[in-house]
Amino acid sequence: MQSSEANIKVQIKYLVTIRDRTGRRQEEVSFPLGSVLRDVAEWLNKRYALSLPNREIMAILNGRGWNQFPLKLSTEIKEGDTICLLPPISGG
Amino acid sequence: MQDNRILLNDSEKNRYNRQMIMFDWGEEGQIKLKKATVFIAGAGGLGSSVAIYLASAGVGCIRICDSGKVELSNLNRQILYTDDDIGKKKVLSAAQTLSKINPNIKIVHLFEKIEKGNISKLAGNAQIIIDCLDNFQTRYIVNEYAVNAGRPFIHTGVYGMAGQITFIFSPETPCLECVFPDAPPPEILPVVGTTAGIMGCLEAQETLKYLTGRGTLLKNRLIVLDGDNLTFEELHLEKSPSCKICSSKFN
Repeated sequence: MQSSEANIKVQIKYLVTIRDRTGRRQEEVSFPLGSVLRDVAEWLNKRYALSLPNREIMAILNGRGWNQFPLKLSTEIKEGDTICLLPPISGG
Repeated sequence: MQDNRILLNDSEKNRYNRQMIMFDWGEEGQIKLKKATVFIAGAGGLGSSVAIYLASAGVGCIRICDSGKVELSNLNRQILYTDDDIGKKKVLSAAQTLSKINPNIKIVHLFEKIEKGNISKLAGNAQIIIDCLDNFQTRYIVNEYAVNAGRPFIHTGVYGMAGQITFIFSPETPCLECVFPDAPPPEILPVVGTTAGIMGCLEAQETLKYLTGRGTLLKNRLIVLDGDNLTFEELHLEKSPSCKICSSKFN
């Protein structure tokens, strides 16, 4: 993405084992105004082959699960949003 | 104000001295613990750590629930058990060990699988519910009960050398499904015993804070432990207006 026409920036954090797949803990990524979570997923899939949406990766936008937004992957992202990806930490 | 009906005897004052001398704990805090009832959902790796520390701290009544029996593959992390317990009901072995750790407290062992139909009976009069489960499907049942019953619910999970924890108290905080609406399928996950120990200790500490009324609870925050790199990441959590479990409580 990160083109000269891009005009919103979001923080993407990669937690625990997701970091092993991306090689970094977090990054700031620019997307064109009007981009939605699906665009973020496609960018991540192309760059890191994460196969999002993926039940093996829990995705959180500003503290809420992606699927908790009424528009789900069609939810528009905004300047300053924080997206976190983490593995399902479900053991006990 | 001190409750005159429940007092500490000399043995208890001696046993709990090192925590009672903490600022703002004292006899009053210890009596709060003595009067308290907690529900520990799961007696595995997390449950072992939580139960041992809450018993040691003097929580008056511990209700511990698990439908499993001790297996050899549990013993790397489930520190309540030894080889001699293999094949026995976990909760029964747990109750025996916990009673030895602290004979002054009451242990209620519940050998049952947690389901929608029995969670209310299992939790009983517990003031707080502690998630020591190993799958999201059962967590959702406990989460829904906690939301509807207005009880605090500490969520924790572990995976390998990673863990996560948050203090849920709807409608003040998001519930579990606000943040994790899509459960991964149940599976056998890697867990290092120390990870369960660390995260269980954090759960126990949050429980003690809640029961004694001290400190700042882990509300609206998710702490994620990356044990491989020994980092703690803190995420701010938000309630979901479309959450099918809790949104009707705060909308």
